Amino acid sequence: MSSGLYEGGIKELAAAQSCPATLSDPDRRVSVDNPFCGDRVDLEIKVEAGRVTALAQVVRGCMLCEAAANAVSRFAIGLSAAEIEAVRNSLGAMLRGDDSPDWAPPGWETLTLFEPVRRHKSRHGCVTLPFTALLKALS
Amino acid sequence: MSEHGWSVDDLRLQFPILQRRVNDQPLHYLDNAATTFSPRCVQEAMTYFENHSRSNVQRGMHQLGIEATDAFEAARYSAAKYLNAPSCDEIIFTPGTTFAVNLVASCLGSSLQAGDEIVVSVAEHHSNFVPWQRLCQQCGVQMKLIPVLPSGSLDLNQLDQLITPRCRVVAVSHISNVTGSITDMQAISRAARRQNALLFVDGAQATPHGPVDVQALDVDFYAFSGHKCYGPTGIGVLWGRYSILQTLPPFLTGGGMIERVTVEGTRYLSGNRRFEAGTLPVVQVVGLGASLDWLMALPWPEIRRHEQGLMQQMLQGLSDIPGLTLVGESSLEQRVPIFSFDIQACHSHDVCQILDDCGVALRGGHHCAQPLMDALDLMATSRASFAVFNNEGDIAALLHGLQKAVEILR
Repeated sequence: MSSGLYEGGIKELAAAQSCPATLSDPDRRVSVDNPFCGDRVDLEIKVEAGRVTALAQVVRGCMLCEAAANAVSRFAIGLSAAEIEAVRNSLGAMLRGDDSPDWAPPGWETLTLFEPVRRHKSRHGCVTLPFTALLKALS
Repeated sequence: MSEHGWSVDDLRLQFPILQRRVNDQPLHYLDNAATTFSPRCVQEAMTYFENHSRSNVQRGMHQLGIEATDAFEAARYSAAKYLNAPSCDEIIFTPGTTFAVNLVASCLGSSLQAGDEIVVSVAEHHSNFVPWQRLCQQCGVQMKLIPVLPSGSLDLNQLDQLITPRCRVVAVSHISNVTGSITDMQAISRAARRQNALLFVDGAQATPHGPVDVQALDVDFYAFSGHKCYGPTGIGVLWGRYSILQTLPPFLTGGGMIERVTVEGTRYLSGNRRFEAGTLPVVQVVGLGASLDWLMALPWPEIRRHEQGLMQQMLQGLSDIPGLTLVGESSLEQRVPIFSFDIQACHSHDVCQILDDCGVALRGGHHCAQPLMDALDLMATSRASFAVFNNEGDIAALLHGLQKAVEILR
């Protein structure tokens, strides 16, 4: 059953869009598709000394993808590629059902909202797509 | 029960899988355009073959080899009959429609020249789009596109401008896997014939809805898949006009497709056998034959009446869902029961997830038709596709589930 997916946290996070659609002068611009379902994240960032200083994105995806993208836009500013990758790995671990993922740096514990997605393997890619986009932009 | 003794309730008893429950709900399977179920007789035919006659075909001198070959060729006869093909020698077994398109595209490739043109519709499944696109890129051939109307149906108004004397191949689907619209094959065939272009038809979504007449359609190639026709996965059929098959080079080479091999070279078999290299999935062929025999024995006028009733129920019910937009024609004419729709502020993946809770199996996404989605400015739709075993209860469960999804997601 999908109980938990559409109750409370994820739905609110999906509705709480907190970043612009575009930047005036982005350093990097990527478009990432989920080939399984066609969800798409168009992302622009500004980078200084290897850290994200500004982020804009347009998400054409499901509620899970939009919620994860909003978490990214909220907490990714100031982080490096290595830190983003660590968060993505923690998210992956949680979705796989591994024990006690490390949510540092602060704020990312929001991602525990996605714990109910664990049993829906076909939806894991919806949650991780915004991270894939950001890491691609930082690569 | 109809006046001729057919009832969907009786038919459903032939499908053991319909007895199972999903998420503690009765199963309402509406993803038949992707893969449908097989009736018990198909499963029994495959089990019988495995338990009694399993062996290789064509070259065995022993009893089992003879039985296997007989069963294999009987399936070829069934496929020819299902398509009203002039000859069994025109039936090629393939792993499915995708393979068939790749086979034809690859074999035609060697005869194409820069400046030639291939015409494909925007509404094609990727299977009948990407192989032609790749071939065009490899051979310097221009790919021209039949556009779609706002409904998603093909816009055939400019057909004579698109299919010119430079056109070598026209490739279209008989029925859209997204909209359920039936293509006006007569119009396309006439236009292709006028320019001596070959006509390839993807019949994957048409063949589940009754026998096809490739001679009446006046096409050159016709392909379909077993798993959408109540048969097994991993098997399909390519029909090709014999005179054209004779002109094509082999696709795959190896055993089973040769006349004579020497160290200097190889002479290939003619007709269909040239394109059946190696050992084919024999039990799947047998299962496909059983499914086509089963399909041919169905009372199609009765089934079409039943389908029309379900489609009316569906269209009426969809019109009551707030914010729902149907992709495709809303009339019952020139369509089969494949319905794609978009619900405002409700993404198809979320809709399908909630429907799964209700035991309703739908498909959400781009349906392997991204050029069509782009043309319609959509990323994804939800799709319900019916089979002959679906009933009013399935539609009612779907409509109830959609109302629930809208309440949850908005």
